[in-house]
Amino acid sequence: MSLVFKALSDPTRRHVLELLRSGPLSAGELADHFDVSKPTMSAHFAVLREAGLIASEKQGKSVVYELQLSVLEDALLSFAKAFGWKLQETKRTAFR
Amino acid sequence: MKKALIFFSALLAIPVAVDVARRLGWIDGFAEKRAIGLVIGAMAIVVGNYLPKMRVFQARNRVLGWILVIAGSAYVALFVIAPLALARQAAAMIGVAVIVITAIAWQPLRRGVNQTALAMALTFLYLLSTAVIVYLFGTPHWTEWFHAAFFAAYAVLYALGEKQCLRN
Repeated sequence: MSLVFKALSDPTRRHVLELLRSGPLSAGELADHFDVSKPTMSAHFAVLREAGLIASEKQGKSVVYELQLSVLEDALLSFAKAFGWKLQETKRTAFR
Repeated sequence: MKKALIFFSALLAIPVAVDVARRLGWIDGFAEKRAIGLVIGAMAIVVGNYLPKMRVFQARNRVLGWILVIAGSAYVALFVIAPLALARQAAAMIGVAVIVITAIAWQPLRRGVNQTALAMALTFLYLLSTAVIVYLFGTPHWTEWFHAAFFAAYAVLYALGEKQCLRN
């Protein structure tokens, strides 16, 4: 369970999970949504995969990721989305 | 998956333990009926929680998972709080609703479906259907036909699952 919390603690990883809610996406398609390097994105994918929150499948040359959340994990993600992101925004505004 | 299987097996053992306890006179029939209702609710929560992860069907695993978790929670609440007669009536209605929704939302089995996950989901559906029949009609003689029909359907679905599993 600590792996799940670790995975959900990062906003980029939570955003990846949110994007995957609409359906499976390739690593490239996911990376396009973020302004980070490929190795960083790969590290995020690895953390999510290790926590069992996403499953990957190789299709030709690209790797396709799919959501693999239990109902409890799904609820945790929604909870983190509702409170975690708002908290982060509050922190950002406070530091400005 | 392993966790789900452990929880599910432990829950399967509870009705047997409860039956033994009743026969030994440790608990009465009311407590036994409540315990069985609670076990079915807990099973719905376990199977529902892991269904999106086990990905038995090609789609709608998430929706079905949420439905089962909510229905299971309602079962648990009913068999803890409500009077037994009312709990059984409400549980029958919830059970019928879950079976109908599952039938409507049924999808072809996923390619490479895990056989244990499939067996767990089918076993739960069998137990839920049996409980609903008992809550609605008691124990009529035609339940034997129901059991036979369910096992035939179970065998067909399991064989289909095996075929899908081998395709992967």
